[in-house]
Amino acid sequence: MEKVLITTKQSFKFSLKKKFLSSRFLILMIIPAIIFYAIFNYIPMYGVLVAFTKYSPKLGIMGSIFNNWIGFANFQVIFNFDGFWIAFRNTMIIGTIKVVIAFLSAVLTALLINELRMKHYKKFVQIIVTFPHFLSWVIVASLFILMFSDTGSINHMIAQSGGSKINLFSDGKLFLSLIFSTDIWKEAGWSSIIYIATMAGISPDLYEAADIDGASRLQKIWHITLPGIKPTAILLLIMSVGGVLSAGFDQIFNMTSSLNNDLVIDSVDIIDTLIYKACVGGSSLTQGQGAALGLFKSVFGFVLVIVTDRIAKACGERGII
Amino acid sequence: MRKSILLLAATSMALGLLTVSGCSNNKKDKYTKDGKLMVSMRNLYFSSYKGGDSYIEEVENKFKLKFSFETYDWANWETQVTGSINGQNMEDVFHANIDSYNFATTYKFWAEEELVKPLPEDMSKWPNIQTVLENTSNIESLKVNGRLYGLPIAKNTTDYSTSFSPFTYIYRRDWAKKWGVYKENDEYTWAEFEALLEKFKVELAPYNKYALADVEWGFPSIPNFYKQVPHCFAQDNTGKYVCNYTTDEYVAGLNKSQDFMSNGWYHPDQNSAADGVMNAKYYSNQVGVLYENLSYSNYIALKNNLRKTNVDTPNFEINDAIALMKIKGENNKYSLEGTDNWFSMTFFDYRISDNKQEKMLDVLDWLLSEEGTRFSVYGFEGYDYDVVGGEVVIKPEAWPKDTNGEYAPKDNGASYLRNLISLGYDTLEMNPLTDKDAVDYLNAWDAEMKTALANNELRVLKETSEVMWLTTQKKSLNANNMRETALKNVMKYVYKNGITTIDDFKSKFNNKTWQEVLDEINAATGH
Amino acid sequence: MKKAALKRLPLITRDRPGPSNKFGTMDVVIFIILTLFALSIIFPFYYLFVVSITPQHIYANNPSLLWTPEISFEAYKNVIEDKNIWNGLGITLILLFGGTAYQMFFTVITGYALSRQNWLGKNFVMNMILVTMFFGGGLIPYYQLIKSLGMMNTIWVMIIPGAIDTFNMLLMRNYFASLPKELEESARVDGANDVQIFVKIFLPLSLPMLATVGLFFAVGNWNSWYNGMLFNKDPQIRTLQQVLQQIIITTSSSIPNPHPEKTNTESLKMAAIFFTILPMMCFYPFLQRYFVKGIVVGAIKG
Repeated sequence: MEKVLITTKQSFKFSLKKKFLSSRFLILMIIPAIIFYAIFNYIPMYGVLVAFTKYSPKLGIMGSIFNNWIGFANFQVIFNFDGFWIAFRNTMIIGTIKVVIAFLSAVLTALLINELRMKHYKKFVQIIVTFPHFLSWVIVASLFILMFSDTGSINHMIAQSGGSKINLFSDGKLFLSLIFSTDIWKEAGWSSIIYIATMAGISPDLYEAADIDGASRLQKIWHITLPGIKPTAILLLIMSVGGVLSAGFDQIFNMTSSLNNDLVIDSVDIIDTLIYKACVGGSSLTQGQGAALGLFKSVFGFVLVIVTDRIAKACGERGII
Repeated sequence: MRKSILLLAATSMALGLLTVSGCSNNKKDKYTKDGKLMVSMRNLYFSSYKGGDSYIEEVENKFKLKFSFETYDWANWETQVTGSINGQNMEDVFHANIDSYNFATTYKFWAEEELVKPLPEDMSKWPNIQTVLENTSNIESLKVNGRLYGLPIAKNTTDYSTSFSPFTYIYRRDWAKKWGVYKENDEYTWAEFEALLEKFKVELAPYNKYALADVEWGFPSIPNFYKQVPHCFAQDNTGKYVCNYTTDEYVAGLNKSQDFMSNGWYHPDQNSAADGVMNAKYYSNQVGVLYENLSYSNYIALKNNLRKTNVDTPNFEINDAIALMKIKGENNKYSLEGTDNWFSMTFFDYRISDNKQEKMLDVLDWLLSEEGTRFSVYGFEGYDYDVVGGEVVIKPEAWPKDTNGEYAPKDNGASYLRNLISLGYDTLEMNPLTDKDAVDYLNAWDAEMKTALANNELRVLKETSEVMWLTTQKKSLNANNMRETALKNVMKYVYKNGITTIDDFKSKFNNKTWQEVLDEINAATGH
Repeated sequence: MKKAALKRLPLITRDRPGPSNKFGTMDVVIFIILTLFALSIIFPFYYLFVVSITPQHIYANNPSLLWTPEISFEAYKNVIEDKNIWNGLGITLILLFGGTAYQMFFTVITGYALSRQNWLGKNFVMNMILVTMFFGGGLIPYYQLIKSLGMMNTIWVMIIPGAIDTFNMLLMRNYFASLPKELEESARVDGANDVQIFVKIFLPLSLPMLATVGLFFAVGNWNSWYNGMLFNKDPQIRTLQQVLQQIIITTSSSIPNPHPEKTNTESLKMAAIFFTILPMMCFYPFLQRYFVKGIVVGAIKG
């Protein structure tokens, strides 16, 4: 009995050493990453504890943790704060709709581009529609405000031709639709790339067989193309759930003229805008309360991803964790 | 997975503990090789100024100091200040925006935590600064434990009597004349004002232009002629604090604003416009009347831009395009928002030595003196200017003129330095760069308003300082949000967008937060 | 349809001109929809350009024009004569080349190491990285970290902290993992060492992914402003985007400014925006074809 134990230990040691030696190059390669993540991600991580303190810049983070520990008081304050639950509700609504719309628009764009017959035009269209992804929201927002505000060029043209203006920036619901459509404008082309490529990977034999059976084009899309991209689509959908809680701060911040559009801000105030207000000062929330908001968002987002992952696995799809 | 996360969390905490370096709680005085004390400064107004001219060198030699100038971005001022405070990376002398809404989380918090260095208790060594501080309005509210923790930057150090903002309507007199709605001396009654707006609207509508616009953060302007106080907290007959937005006076102004909007007089983009857009609409000939804070710099910016956009307009008379409208409210009184006579504040890092702070105060005190003021405006006597019979005469060779025959601006570091204590409106009349017409025009208006005040023809709207600077717990936490929400509801009501009836509007203020804060305020102020 | 049937069919169909080759109504519909979509993307840029070449006095009177009766390149002249813009461009170019190369190097080697199977502690490192996608310490400790590393007010703060982008690293890892394992085994049989396998076999095969990730980093660097804004105060190391922001937002009338500055006209702002997106417009079409393949493999095989 003892003998066996020793041998296993020895062989374990041996295999460990062998394993280390055989992968020394890879371990060497990973060392910079370990250092990098340790310094820039792990050292600052103790900062989450700021959420449990009355933060004092003079004492620093550690000083505040030891001297100004106030437990969950900051959380109590933010949960009782007027704006918080509105922001939370908005975040969930906007985030969810965005995920769905982004998914649908990407699939639709991919289908259309895939079905386009003109080869060169196809390439051209693809270049055009993927480009806006690379622009910052500052630029995109200033373009859209320039064009779509009440006196902007589009409304001016409408008015000149006798139509009635559309006030996209003064109605909460219309503004939300503007938020969603600019999101489509900017990202649909980009997100469609994956689907287009997946479609290209579907065997042409399937389509040819369908032709023989006399299937119409729509039937082919329905019975061949869509099932062909289903696994990819589901995978990407699960992955995007993690982004629900970041309902697009940059976009909202810039489209509301730095959060100043009073008519629509109620419908687009999200958790991130509250955190922003707490962090830049000029707000009535303290740094500790801002940190508490951030921590709440992280934990909730993490739970959301884990839950979706479990559901996907239960439904027989591949999870991501 | 779970195990490794726990492990990682523990590692991170340990790493964090290991790497925390004790923040040093003082900055040692550092000297240049030639024995000058180095002072770092950051101020919004330094703009692109970096030092290095002979004027700043003169000041540096005089006080044995060496300055470094840094600036903030206009768009990110608060972010940058908050970042440096929280990261304990403040410059020796820095600049922050202090108002009654961020008072609790900025000034009050910094002072209580001693993150900023208090001024010496005895300021008699610096008589000029002392005069400024004595004349600063609401100075008592800024004191924490009897000490002052920063220097309020005075708007005007020679004239403290202006206690109201220069907020007013500015309009196209030329259009009013053209369309026959001009009134003598720019004096309009409320009815005449409305008639003017209607006429403007009729004439301008085909061109996608509008009669009236308010500066974005001052919208809507009409309640200013009705309401009792600028923002949240008004007082009823018994002195008890109540919600301003639901008072009869405010509601009257609000209904008027709504009429203005539905009559099509207002520019409809008030809600979506970013800072400065309405200003630009005015100087682009797209708006006939603008409600704006007409400090000298805002006025001059409008004037210069108007001139630029109308280069090819025949017979364009600039002064007719930028006239101040004198308009009395329903009670036949002018109405202006009361302000303090200071704007932002200059702070000292708590870690700097007493010596450094005292030397900085020496510099500022000198800059406020007659000699220093003159130096900061003109430069060296005998080189930049001569004194002939007690009058300053500028030497043409030292002050180049540009092609239009106007003096070209030149960097004088002392003038930037002086902004640490004064916005410089007191030196406007001396400054050869100043547009004298503009200053005279603004001063005449100011004088007229002061006369009106003396004759009881001007209402100055002001929140009482006991409530304005009050930092009780619930008020500190909610006041900013309450005002923002209130302005949202005001906007919605004016646009008839989401809130249509006045009862609906009033009900938005009938909630727990407002009640709690009002109760707290009334308890704290003894009403 | 049965699989057996499918296998038999192609031989016949490939020679036959099927009904699908005709240009039908549906093609017209698709053509129109896509053209409208493309136009909706082009139009704002067109409008932006028109405003930028319109003189102020014309724009002032008719802000919604589709073409200008008088073309003026005054605004572009002002942009080009602005020293700050060129200075910002210089800094941004340093970030674009130096920063991108630096980020690529660390991201690629990390992705490669994590894509190889079973080395000691791989799962631990992987989890360590994944956790950071959800939890961060917030701004305050980050600020203090940057300060204690001595990177305040230097160009390094815009480069060094960006060494590895987790998302890009995972793309890279997934791409490497998707390449056949036999490649490595046969190379080993041929006597290649680890370095040779990585450099001579895996890197050349990963060109599409390298182009993709490279483009992501490059665009990120081109648009970078936040770290510069927060940590740097020296105007000499402002990035192009920071300068652009200065041009768009010069002053706000809610803050009195003792030094009246010239306000920028709408056309100058638009010219500045156009100036900053022009390089992207020029290079983008050439890079676009490279990354289609990369993004697909990287994202799907995750």
